[in-house]
Amino acid sequence: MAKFVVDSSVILDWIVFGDDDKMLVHKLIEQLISKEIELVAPGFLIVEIINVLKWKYSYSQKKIEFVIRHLEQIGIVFVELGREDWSGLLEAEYKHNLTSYDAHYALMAENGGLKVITRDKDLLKSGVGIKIEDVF
Amino acid sequence: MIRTTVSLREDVYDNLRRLAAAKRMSFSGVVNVKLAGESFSLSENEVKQKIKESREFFKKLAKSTPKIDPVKAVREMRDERLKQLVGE
Repeated sequence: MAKFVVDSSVILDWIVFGDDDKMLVHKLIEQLISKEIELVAPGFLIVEIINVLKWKYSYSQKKIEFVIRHLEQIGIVFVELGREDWSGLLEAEYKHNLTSYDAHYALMAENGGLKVITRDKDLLKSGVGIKIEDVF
Repeated sequence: MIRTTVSLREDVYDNLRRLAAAKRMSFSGVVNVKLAGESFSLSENEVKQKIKESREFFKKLAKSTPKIDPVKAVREMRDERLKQLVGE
C-alpha cells in the first residue's frame, strides 16, 4: 500500500474547497478510506489546523471539533515527535532550509522513506514534497 | 490459537454478538480484533457509505468557509505568531 505524509495545506484545501467536486483531494481521501493508500501526519498538523481555522477562517469551537474528529475517523494516522527527535528536526531544517514547522513534515517523510503531499512551495522546492497531481 | 473460558458481562456479550453478526465474523474473531486494539476492515458498502458521508460533510463545510488560500493562511498564521513572539 502506498504511504504518504500529508501536510496542512492539503487538508485545508479539502476544508476550504471541498465543494468543488473536481478537487483531487477528494480522490486522495477516497483512496485513504478504502485503504488503497495510507496517510500519516505529525500530531502538529492538528494544532496548525485548529489555529488556522480559528484565526483565519473564524470557525467556532464546535465546528473545529467536528473537523478534527472527522480527520481522525477517516484514518489519517497522527504521529507525535518525541523529545529525542529534536536533532533530526534540526538537521531537516538546515538540510532543506525549511522552517521548524515544515521540518516536522520533512523529518517524518525522511524517517519513513516517504514523500509529503503538499501545495507549499518551500516543501516542494526542498525535494521532500510532491504535488497531489503527481500521486495519481 | 489458545482456547480458554472467560466470563463476560451480559451487555458486553450482547454487544460483541451483535458486532459479530454485523461484521459477519465469528464471535472469537471479533473478540480477538477488539482485544488486540485492531480496527475492523470495512465492507465495500461501508466504504462507499463512508466516502459519501465524508464528501457531504466537507462539501457542506466548504460552502460556509471563506475562500482564502490555505497556503497563504498557514504562512500568515506562522509569521504573525513569530512577530508576536519577537514583540513587533
